Amino acid sequence: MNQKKMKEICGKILGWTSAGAAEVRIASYQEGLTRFGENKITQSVQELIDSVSFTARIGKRIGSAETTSLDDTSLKRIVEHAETSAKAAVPDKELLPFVRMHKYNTGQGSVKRTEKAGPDFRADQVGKAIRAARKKRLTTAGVYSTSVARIAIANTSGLFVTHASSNATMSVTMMTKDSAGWASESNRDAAKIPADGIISTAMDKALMSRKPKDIKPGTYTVVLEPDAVSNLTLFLAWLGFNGLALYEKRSCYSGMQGKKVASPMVTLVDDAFHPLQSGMPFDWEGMPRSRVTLIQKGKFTDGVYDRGTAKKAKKNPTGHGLPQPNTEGAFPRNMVLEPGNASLEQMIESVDRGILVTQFHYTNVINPKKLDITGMTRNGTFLIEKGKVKHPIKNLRFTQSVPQALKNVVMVGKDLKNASSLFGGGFVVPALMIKDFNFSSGTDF
Amino acid sequence: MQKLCDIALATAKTRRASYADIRIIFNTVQDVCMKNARPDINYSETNGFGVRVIVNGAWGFSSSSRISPAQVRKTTLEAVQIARHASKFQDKKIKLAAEPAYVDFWATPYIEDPFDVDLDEKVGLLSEIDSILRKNKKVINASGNLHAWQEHQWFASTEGSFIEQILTRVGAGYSAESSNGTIVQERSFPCSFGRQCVTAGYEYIRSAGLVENAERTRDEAVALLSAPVCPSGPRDIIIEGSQLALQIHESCGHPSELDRVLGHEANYAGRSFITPDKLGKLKYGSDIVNIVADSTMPMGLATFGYDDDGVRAQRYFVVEKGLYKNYLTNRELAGEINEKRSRGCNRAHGYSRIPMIRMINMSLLPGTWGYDDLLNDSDGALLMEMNKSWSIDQMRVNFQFGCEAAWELKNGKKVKLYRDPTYQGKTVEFWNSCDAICNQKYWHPWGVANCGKGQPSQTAEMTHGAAPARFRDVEVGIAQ
Repeated sequence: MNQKKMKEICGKILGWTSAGAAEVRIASYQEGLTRFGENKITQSVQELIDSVSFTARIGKRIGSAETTSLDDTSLKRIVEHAETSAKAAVPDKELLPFVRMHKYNTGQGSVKRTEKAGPDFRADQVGKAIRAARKKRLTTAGVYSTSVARIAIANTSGLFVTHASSNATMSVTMMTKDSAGWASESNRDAAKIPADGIISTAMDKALMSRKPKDIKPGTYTVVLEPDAVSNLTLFLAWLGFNGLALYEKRSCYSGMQGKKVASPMVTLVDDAFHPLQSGMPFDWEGMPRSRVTLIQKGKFTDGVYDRGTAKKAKKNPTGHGLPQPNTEGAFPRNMVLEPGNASLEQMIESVDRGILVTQFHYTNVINPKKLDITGMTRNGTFLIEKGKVKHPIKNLRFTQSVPQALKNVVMVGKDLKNASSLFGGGFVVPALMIKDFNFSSGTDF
Repeated sequence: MQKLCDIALATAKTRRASYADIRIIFNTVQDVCMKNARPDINYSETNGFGVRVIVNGAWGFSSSSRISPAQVRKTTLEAVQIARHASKFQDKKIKLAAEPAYVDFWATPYIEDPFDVDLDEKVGLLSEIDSILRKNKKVINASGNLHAWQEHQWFASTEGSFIEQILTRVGAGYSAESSNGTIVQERSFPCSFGRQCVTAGYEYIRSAGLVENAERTRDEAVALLSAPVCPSGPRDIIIEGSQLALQIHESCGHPSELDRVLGHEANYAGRSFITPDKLGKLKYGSDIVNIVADSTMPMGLATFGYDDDGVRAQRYFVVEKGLYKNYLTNRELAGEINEKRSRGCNRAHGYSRIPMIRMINMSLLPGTWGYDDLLNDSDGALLMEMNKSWSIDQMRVNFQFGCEAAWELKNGKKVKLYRDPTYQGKTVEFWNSCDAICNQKYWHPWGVANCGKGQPSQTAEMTHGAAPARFRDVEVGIAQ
């Protein structure tokens, strides 16, 4: 759906409503994905979704409805449902007026090359991985996906904002009988995805991981590659830097503004405009998105705030809010852990005895207030001894406090990557070397 | 709808598809939520269609939310084109296990249409619960929700099936989050992470005891603030039903998905330690452990007439008297383990995703113990209640679960409350340590409504029936 069509739909819906105030949000999303396993393409799919959401306010009462159908009958139906819901709702004293137009920075936008990449392009890229695996008698699995999203928000206060973004991701797993290696890259521009590099990295890790040895769980110095680091930032984003959690004293950083919470090597920001990010220049209410310093050289600055929480906490909103009635707070969506000076090789050379981790799997939170998390290593885990990768090891479960891990950072990598974890992604992070990282148990492979 | 289906199938056939099917779905959801007396009411309609084809022995799939004859034709042609590109790397053409064609209508039963219940009544119920939960100032957040969902689906295939199904479900739940400024705890009812869901009408919500359990939920959330942390070390534990449901889900359900076993999920959610050589041989659990897959069970979230391959719903043992017997399969992969028929586990999230093997309802059959008898027989054991966190390795061996609360048992009574209890183990050892399961009276169907799998990611829902059960010598507490 193009901007003209979005504006037309917004205008129609806002014209139909009898509510005192109203808001329309439109998301038009197209994704193509080619998935492979057992050295063949197993699924190749494409989807097109148009979604229109409408929120009606009648005094201090609010109700919402949404549809994927764009005909007038369906759109009128969601207006009716939202207004009926608003009439049935009890008054909400915390509701704020809808946001007016502001000045906005320009976001990264969508890349035409990604928009045009189709099933033939994806099959060709995937084909490289399949041919490489067959040649080396490995088994491969993975995906190549391309997507384009267009968003529009309009309301009766005169707001009309739009944003387009694109994403391409290639993710490859290579397997032998007793090992696996993995690599993945994401970029707005499909032409910048280094398919050959991803394939060879996954392959090298799989081959290096054969005949993994047992290792006793315990506390180790770790070198975490960026895709493992993204698991730490995921839970910081959900639970640590949410302004509402900070205000309600549910965050591990509540009351710690200005205090030392991490190694002085750690600087963490939320920046939708970073070259490796492609965030919206506004939040889901239409507030301009700010660049927010979360941790500056180890000191906690502050979190991100939606308008409602900012008012309660007497702070300025940072443009990270959700649509009203927002009871969940605000979340940093485009975190960047600032790079340091060390290469991965330098980090490894600095370790007397430790563990190199490619990726974490199924990381989850045990204690949200303390931010204790647990998860498994995966796809390439190695013992480091006297500055060299010695041999592969069987996977381990870690149980670790994230704030303590940030305090124990001793080196920060110089190369940034847009990395993801199982439950969420889009974190721009380097590798980290962390001392005293706790592994609580092991597994059989 | 028949006309739209005919367009898709005819278009696919003219482009030499050896098989094609179309699913048209109209999905309606109403969520009435309340947090700290702030209501959030949302209604949604998600309508669209997805077309699957096999061309040159490979799958192609395309979908759209724009439902019209022209779009159906266009989307089908896209699916064909996608299949042609995918077929470049087929080493073996897809062969579907045989299934008769069906022309049928099927619906989940309900008494009271949840969409017909006045919004005022729903808001009133949540307001009443909210005011009970927040009577104690240490409860900083009270959240409640009521959920109604209905999916109307039409499935048609080039093999002659035309199946219409209407699935209706409801959900309800609430939680009290407490804080003393330094410790934060939570108690939920009827289960954690939002709500308990079943395929039924609003009559289920009326009978769920929501208001009756609000005081206890609140008081336990506050009591946890002054409870000690659960001690560490090997202990006997009794796991109550809703937590045991998630244990079944993670350690038996997922490793039983045949596509995972074969490596199709290797890049994302992982694989399975239950390799085909173990089928019929692996002593998965003790002799009293019987786990049944069943898409016919009443009130199950994965209860239907036919799956998204058009295969009839079935019931069968996955684990029988501790022995691992059967995988979850679909028409495409059943032949890989020499089975002639699919076990009916192909399901998709909505219209926009391609069907893949998903868990159907999987339940631990009840045992013989009375609940009080089991508690009486378990001095010193810990009773673990309601899930708070979960994590398992990619082969489904090493797991760790956290619960909302645990009680130490003495003389059949809960004598000491602990906060932040966790337990961990390895799947086969764990299930072989099960030595007592409560009887049918204490068996309950627990819904899991947010199971994630696949790339692009899909959500599925299923039910795991379970009664409280005892496991011996389990590692409890966080090893730090």
